[in-house]
Amino acid sequence: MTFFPPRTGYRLAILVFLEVCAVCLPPVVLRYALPALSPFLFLCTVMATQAVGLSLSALLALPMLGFVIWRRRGFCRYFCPVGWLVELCAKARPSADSTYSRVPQFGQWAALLTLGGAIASLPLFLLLDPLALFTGAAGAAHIAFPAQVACATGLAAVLILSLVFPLLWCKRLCPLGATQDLLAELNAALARRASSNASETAKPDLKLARRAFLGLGGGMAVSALAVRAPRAADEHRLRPPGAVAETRFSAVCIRCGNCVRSCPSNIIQPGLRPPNWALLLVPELHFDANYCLETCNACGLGCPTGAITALPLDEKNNWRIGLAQIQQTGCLLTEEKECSACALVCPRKAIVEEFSRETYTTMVRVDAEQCNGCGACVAACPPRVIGVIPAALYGNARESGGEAQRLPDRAAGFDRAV
Amino acid sequence: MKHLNRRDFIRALGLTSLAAAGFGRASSQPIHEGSMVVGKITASARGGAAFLEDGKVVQPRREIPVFRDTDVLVVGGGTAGVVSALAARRAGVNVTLVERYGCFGGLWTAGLVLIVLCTHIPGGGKRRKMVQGIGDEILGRINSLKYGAINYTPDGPHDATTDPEAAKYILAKMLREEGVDIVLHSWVTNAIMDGDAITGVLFESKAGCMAVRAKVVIDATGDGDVFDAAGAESIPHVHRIGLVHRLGNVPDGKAPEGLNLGGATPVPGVRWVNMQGPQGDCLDVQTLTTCELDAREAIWSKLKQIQDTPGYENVFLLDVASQLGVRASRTLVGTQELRLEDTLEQKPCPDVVGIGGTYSFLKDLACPIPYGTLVPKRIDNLLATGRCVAADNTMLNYTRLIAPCMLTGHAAGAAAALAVQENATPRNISVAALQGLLKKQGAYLG
Repeated sequence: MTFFPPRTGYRLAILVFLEVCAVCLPPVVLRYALPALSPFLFLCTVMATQAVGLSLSALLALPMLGFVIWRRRGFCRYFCPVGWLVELCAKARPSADSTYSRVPQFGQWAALLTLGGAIASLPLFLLLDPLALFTGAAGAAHIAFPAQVACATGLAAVLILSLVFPLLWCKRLCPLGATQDLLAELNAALARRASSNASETAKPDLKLARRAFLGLGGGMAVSALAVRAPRAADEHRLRPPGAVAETRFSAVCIRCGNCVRSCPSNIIQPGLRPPNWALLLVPELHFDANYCLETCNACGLGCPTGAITALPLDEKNNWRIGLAQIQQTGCLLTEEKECSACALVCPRKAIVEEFSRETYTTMVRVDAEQCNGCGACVAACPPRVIGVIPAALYGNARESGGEAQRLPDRAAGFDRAV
Repeated sequence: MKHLNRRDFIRALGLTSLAAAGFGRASSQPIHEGSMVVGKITASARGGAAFLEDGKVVQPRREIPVFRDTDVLVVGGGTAGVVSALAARRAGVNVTLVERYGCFGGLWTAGLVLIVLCTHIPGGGKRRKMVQGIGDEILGRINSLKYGAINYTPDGPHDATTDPEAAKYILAKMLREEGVDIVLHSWVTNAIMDGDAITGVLFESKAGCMAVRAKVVIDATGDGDVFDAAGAESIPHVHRIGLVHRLGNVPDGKAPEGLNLGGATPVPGVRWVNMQGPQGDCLDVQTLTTCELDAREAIWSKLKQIQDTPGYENVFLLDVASQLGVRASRTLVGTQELRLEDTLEQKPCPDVVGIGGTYSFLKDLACPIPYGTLVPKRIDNLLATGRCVAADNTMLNYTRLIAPCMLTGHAAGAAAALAVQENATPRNISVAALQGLLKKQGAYLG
């Protein structure tokens, strides 16, 4: 079976063009659109959020879904950059056998387990989606060292594998390819069922149904056992503004790194020391050097799967990432030293000085109504006694996609503190 | 030897109205325990008592005796005022410095704010000194006194802390060495204007009202009393008002939690304790009175808490600052404003007249101060310096500190001298020439 028309030079040119775009263009243009094309990622996102949002992702992925049902492996043929790279690798060893008729359909199992897992909030092999691998690797240059290696490893592994076993990835391992096979099989089965009598088709249909049942059920079971909401305080992580509820976040996030790259403050970092392995490379916020700028909503705009909701700027600023907490021991002002650094930098004027006549001392207090957890005070604090606790820890975050995390809208915008 | 007493002073002032009043000795009166009768005062600068007119208190209209006629008049003998007087005098003009208290240094000494913040920036593991020139010379001379200063190093990790009496002594000594005409115990009350140009300032003293005329006036009052009287535009602020005190007999070692024993001073066993205090309008005398009284009570209750702590029973209250810790009152609307954004973005500052060390909100950056922050928009022959220069609501927390006051003081003094020499208003002097003069006087301008 040949997947690709033999026009390597032409495809190579497109590939180089894509790579250049991925490095140079703003995230929305290519980094967003490319993963959003994947029917596999789209199905997983729908499973995980249990809703079809009217996003760009849906606009791109739904026609693609129709296309691959109509044209078997249509995505691989015309769109998949990883497929093209794999085929290039195969050209290095033209004599190698690439039929793999005795190798099981690992890709289909991976796809089914992942889809099943997505229902229970842990899409087990989501990271194997070729577009996620490609997007992750394409922009790895923009990420700091350890995460950079982690993001680029997936694609490199696929290509090395392809040098040893040409086309094995595409034919037997790729969950996106397998998803297209499954969709085509399902389509064919439905077509047969509609056109002819049941006895002829019972056997292959039953095989497909059994596989689907085992795969989806197995994925759900494994995920349900593995996934749990963070319980201990140190298991909670700060997520980018607009992130869906924590238990769903790891399911919808494909670890493509778009948010990491799009953040001008470099506060979004791929989780390298997550509280559990399911959260590996899921973006976390770190306010060590900078904060979530009141002029920026790039992370949500660049997220291809809707893990981070694309919010207009004012809504993003009203999104509660967390709540600043000031530890009074060590606070310079509490020790009567000259400092109001936190109050001065707070873009929402959420840090207020309070003078106590009884003790004749001044303390700084966070106005929980105003604080959105942007972290501006964290890096500004000279003795570093301010931290931001995740919204979930102070009680009013719900599992409902974070609706309760939004602050009440204010009639007027707020001024930048001067 | 000349006896200097109040009556002599008043009489000399009242009778002669001369710039350099001589103190005549009462001739033939017998002396009893140092006191003697010196005769009848024949004239005073009050012009008679105030009176009621239509139920309103009215002052008599009168001529004000001109007490001095000088090139540069510096109003306020705090850090900025002293440095400007020294800078102007060294540039070769006559300088009169008027101070309301009996000592120099203002909040640095009388206010007991002993730490000199913002002199350095970090760099390469060590710190680099930014504040040079006259300010640094003062610190060096204080440091050369025994128990004069601690942590005064070219690149050490801590900010220098000085002894208040050592600082008062060195400041007065340097002013006298340079031949600055010093007038103490005199409080500015008004500006003398000729259209939009200031030509002098009125002072109130025990001798009543007196005038000092000058070619250029430097407002180093901290509160902008002069530029406000002259009609210059300014921005009012409220800020925390504290009162610093010093503790003696404090044992070495880390203080127990919750006990504020302040910072080290050059004197062993003595520590200075800062106070934040409540926010208030520092121009309102009732507010100042309440703050002063409340703060003094608070200091004693905190002292009791310290003395109740085992190991700290013998700590005593050494002194309470004689000057209330006013942080901000008026800031000038200058031809330029020191803005946080400009500093953080490191915007080019061609008019730089001083570069300060870093401070908490400056992210390890040095802070160039442009000349325009000292220059009023409209009023001629006037410069502001010290706490009241043009700065935004964040940066005034920088310009109010001792080291930045040294920088704006140095710049204002040099600029005033140049203006006198060029016969120009400070707004029109050549900034390049000013930068040249400042560098000649040892300032670091990058």
